[in-house]
Amino acid sequence: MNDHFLGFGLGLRTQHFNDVLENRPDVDWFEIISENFMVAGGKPKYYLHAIREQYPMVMHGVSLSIGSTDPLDKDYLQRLKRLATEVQPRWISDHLCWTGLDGINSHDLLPMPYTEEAINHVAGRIMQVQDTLGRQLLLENVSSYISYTESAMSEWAFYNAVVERADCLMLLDINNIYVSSRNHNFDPQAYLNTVKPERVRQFHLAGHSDYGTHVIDTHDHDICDPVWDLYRQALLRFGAVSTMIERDDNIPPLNQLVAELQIARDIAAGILPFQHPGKQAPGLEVR
Amino acid sequence: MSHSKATLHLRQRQMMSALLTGNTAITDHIAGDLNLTAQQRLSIYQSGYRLRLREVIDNDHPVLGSYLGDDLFEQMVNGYIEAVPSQYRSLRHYCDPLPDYLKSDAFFSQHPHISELARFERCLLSSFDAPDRNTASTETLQQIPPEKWPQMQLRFHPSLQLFSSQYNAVGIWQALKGKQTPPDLVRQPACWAIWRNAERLTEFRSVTRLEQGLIHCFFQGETFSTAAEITVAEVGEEAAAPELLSTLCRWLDLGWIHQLYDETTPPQLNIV
Repeated sequence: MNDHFLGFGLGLRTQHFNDVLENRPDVDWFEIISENFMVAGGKPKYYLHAIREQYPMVMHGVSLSIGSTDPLDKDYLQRLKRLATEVQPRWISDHLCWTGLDGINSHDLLPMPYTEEAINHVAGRIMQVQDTLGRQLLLENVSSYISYTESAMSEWAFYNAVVERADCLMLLDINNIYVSSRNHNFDPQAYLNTVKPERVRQFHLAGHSDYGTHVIDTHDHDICDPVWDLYRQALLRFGAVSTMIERDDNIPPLNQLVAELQIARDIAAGILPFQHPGKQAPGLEVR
Repeated sequence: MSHSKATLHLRQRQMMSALLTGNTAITDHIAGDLNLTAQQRLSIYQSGYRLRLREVIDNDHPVLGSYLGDDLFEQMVNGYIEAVPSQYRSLRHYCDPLPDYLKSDAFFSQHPHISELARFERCLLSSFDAPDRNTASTETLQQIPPEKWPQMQLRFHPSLQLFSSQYNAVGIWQALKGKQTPPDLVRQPACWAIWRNAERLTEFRSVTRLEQGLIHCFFQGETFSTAAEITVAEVGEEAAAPELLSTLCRWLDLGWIHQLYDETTPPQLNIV
């Protein structure tokens, strides 16, 4: 088994800090939002360190703005690096998108046009970030609601090209693939089929809001059946990939999320020859 | 701007303009379809932008929101989002300029206590996640030789802040926080200390004029010699020493003091 498989995790949210420490839920690892812990001290840092002592962690950022035409924010990168020194995450991720311009932050994950110009631009910046952090970065595909008329390729062709050129890794958000497939009328399976398994290090699962004519990535619902189906397809193609559930709004008690995570475990157990990190049968080569 | 990213830059400029000012020039470059037009697609981002910022203001300033009521809160939110785009990587800081905005806005500046309420809530947040430091104990006082006192300086715990107000903003905040009817607005100059206690909970209490003077004195790096002069001026020579000592003991009990030091004190490790 590859040593990157952490098992099944959850996004660490403030509402669950106490519950995690007191009840040690059956969660293999936690993902933190990096920006939420770029504070000096107090409760956020106390809980971060206490929970880190008990669980593996990965760091997930939301404002690297890797696709922006603004200069890279060196101060942000240094803060990210300092947090990584504290947390010792298994890996660091952000999004293949841009979030602002001219120093103004939209606090949204804005899509890029799928052009050669954009590939060149973003790949160079990813390499700079990887040099600064001293490690490969994972980039996540975002949900999108627009496509630019100048796009010259599919989202997945763009994603693959960026990742190859920058030699970075992928955080495949299964829900985002589904959301964008509905919004842009493409086949999500075709998306998965083009992605190279060796680039995929992590999966995201989440819920969304379905408005009929379009779908919005709200992270405020349980994961729906079509997303679970797509997760099955992803497991078949990519094997054992560290999987976690993101919930950012309408956040239920922790035990409900742990129960939802069990659905992911059960699905994986039905498809993969093992499901727990470190319990691989001898001789199996799965990812 | 290199030619290699000129189109990308232009498109990003148009998108930000759509979010910040409602300019729809970018719709010429967005593909529409039978389900949604380019404008409808753009509006998903436009409403998402405002909703996200509104939610931050709501979460960070619950008591201010409750004091203003729905209509005035909407007026404040809409005005603030228009006037103050975020220059922060983290939404944690989006409302940092809110008190200044309320102080300068044509409508809200007529009610200066509203800015004070916002500033009080910002201070609570700042103390909440201020740096961690260990705190000094009363034994620390006993270890200082008498001849050293005049040159000693004092470092407070980084979460300690002074909040000064001209109105009974804190009284209004306390009542609303406790789901009580707020008192009538009165002009009532006051000074409060805000800090984070050993259980990492944010606390506040009013400080006397002497405490206020002493805290300012130590914030500015002055020595106990200066602190003694301030105390004498406030309570007279005879009462000064016991007053200063009891003030120090009170601060130590509250966990306000990080370190007593002089030039010969080796730097401390900040172990919490």
